[in-house]
Amino acid sequence: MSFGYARKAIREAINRGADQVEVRIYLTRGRRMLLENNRLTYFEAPEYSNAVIMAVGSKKIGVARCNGLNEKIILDTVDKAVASMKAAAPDPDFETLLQYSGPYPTVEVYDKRVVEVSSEELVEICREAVETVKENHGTIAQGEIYLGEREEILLNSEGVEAKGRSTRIDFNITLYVSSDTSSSEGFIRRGRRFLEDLNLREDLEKLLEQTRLTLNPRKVEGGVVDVILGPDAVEDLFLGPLSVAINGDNIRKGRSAFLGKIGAEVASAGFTLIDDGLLNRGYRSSPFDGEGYPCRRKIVIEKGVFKEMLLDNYTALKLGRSSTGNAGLTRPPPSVTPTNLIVAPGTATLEEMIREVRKGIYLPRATATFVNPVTGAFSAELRQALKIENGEIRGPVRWGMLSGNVFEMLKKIYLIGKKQEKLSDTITPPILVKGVAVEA
Amino acid sequence: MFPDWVEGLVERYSSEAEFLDVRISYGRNLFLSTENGKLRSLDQRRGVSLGVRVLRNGFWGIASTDILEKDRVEEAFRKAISVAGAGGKVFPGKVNLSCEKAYRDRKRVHVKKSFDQMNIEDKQRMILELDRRIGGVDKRIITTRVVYSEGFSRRIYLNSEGAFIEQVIPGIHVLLFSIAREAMNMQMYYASLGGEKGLELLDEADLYTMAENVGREAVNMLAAKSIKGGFMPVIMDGRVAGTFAHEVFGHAAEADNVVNAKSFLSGLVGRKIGSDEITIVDDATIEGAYGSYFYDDEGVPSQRKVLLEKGVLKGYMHSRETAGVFGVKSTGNARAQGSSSRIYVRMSNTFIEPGDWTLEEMVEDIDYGVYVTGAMGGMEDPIGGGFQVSALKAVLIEKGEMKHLLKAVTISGKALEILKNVDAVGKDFTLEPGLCGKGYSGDRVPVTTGGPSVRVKKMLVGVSR
Repeated sequence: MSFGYARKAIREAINRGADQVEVRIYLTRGRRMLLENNRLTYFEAPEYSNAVIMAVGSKKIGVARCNGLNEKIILDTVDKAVASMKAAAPDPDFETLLQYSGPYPTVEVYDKRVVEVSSEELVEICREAVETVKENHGTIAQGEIYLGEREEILLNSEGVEAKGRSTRIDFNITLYVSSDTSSSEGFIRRGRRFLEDLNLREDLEKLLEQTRLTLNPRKVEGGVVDVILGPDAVEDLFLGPLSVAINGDNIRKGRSAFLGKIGAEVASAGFTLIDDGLLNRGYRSSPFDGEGYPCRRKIVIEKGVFKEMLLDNYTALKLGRSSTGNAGLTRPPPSVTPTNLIVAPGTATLEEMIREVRKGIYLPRATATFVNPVTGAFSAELRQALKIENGEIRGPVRWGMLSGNVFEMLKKIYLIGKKQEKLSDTITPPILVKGVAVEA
Repeated sequence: MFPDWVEGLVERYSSEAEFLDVRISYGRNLFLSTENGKLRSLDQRRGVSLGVRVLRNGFWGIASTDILEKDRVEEAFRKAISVAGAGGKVFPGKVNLSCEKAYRDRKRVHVKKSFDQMNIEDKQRMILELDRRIGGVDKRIITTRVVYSEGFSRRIYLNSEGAFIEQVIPGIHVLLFSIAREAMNMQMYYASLGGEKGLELLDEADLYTMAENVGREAVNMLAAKSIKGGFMPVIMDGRVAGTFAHEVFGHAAEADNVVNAKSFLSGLVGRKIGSDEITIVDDATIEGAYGSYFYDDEGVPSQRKVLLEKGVLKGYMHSRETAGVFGVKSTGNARAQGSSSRIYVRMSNTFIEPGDWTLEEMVEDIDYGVYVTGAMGGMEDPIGGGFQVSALKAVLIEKGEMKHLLKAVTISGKALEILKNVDAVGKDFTLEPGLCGKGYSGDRVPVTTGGPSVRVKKMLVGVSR
């Protein structure tokens, strides 16, 4: 893919009255395999080409999008973007598109094996997944494995010329295991960049073991207890509200729980959160963000203290700061988004964490969960929970609800595990939180 | 323009497949949105895609492209045949599609007031005024948002049995949203309306009053109190009852979930599983409703299906593939997000039929319970039949009277118990538009959900702080 179409689109938009223009073009090719009832049932080979054109004039912003790219369609889209711009009410907060012309860092995000692996080999990967589940007396209710590559170019009239390509692997599997008297459901979602990082068999075996442990649950007892959140449960409960709270646009607009809290304690002293857009093989890593600013690593919360909010260029200019390389793809701006969120490891093993709990629950994942990402209020139905009593796991429990507030829970973190797990764009160890309400 | 050489390709490649179909979609849309009194976006979109679906050795392969040039499309045909072959070698299946008539038809939803009867500037002025009305209610409102979208989709369907169907369907949708804040207490509220209509939708509702209400409800929720959770009687309004009908009952009544052992309704057809009060319908033929269509994505005409009649499970929703498994005809519920997406059994407009109670009569009998209106999201659990909904707004009922607002209420229960515990169904009725996702790619199709107010004798009420 060359810059040709994009340069032409910029020229044409300027000729038609825009002061500034941004063009993003991307091509996606992938293969997706769908599993149902221990069978591969669908094999898809989708291919897309998309363009997003944003025209700016006198602080008015217009956007137009298209797919099925050819020159005629792109020029038609330029017309639409400029017409939208002319019709739009001005955005008084808009100052300028990003003025930057490199350099960009390098980061490992492309694996040619993902593209070159044959359809037959992919079918074999699915066969192995099915066999693994069957050997362990489980059934894949629904599963999906996707491998794809994306080529992307991002240009603007102010000097940005960024080009990248990346590969992506996603897998999501819901399975269940049954005994004579009970059936239990397990779910896993992982995202990778490199084929060799896909450990389907290992991940499935772990999930099957975990799911088997939740067969024949007893009714949970209500009360205030200690809860160990497994890495997936940390993501399910904490990451949505944290992403909203550390977003500079939300802070500027007063809808973040961390409003006015830079330098203040927002979590227990053991909790450190890093946003790293340059993590090699990171699921959300990239040399540049959605506006073409270089991505970087930053400590967002350090030992419980809120250090740095995430910013795009649009928001940074309003606050008199520099972008943190966290521009997202929503157009028009602002669009602030985390990259890879990493919870720093603590010192405890999972066994040590369990031993710390007199009365509590171990929750490997929180599937049936409602979290209000703005306020942090949540309730999570206990579907895959294990009871802990006097430092020991005492079997599965169900039919209750964990509830509380994520931002209050962050301050009640008692222990953080030393073993991190790479999910997709979240990397986290398990976390022990004291004093959480359970309704039976 | 529809490239007529596609029919030639269908004919040529049909011999290499047990079945082959092609879906082409064209779309044009306008999106406008505001945030805090300002225009947030003005965005025009056009899209096109073509997907080829091939059945070989009982295995489905799909390939797609958005470049409608003959060589690229032919490459997609070959790719679909190739991946179906690779899958079918290792995972051969038995797919017997139900026999259906191959229609050749063109259909269009005619709008009463076309989208160009109002220019973009006036649409923008309208949504900015709606945004202003939301925020004008109270200074504690910190976020206001309005999203407006309109557009047309033109979908073409062809298959190796000779079907050729073209349908043109418009869509219009307005979403109003607010967040109110007082110290660390933040509350949100929203309302939406939409349909397969033109601008006449804007004349059918008092949008400005709706906008003020969206602001007022978020502010009112700031004063909401907490109660101790537990089991108690619950009245769900039509929106929450619709979420139940869709998320729990509806997904479990999709025959692909039944075939894949993912439904708690498996083996229960003909059995009485609910109280006499409750009847649930999926109807894809409602004129103007957001989830309606003329033909599904396998070329089968849309239908009205009574899924649960006075508590008795009457049947499931089917695609041609699942109908083949059950030895019945397709119910016209095969739907896909776009031409490149796979087909699932999907709902259309799913609702509980109204009864004859007034809300006041339902409240009168309750000593201590909760009235829940609006849902912030529903959790589907077709396997376990678990139902969980986070309430947009909830009110405490005490000694037969509505008392004060409750914050952060979640209701949950097991579907089969809820169905049996329904003891009153209201005469009111509402249908709310939305998008339903299925599968991990979150393939979304437009649907509506709804019903009347429904009283359940006992549900678990959870309260977060």
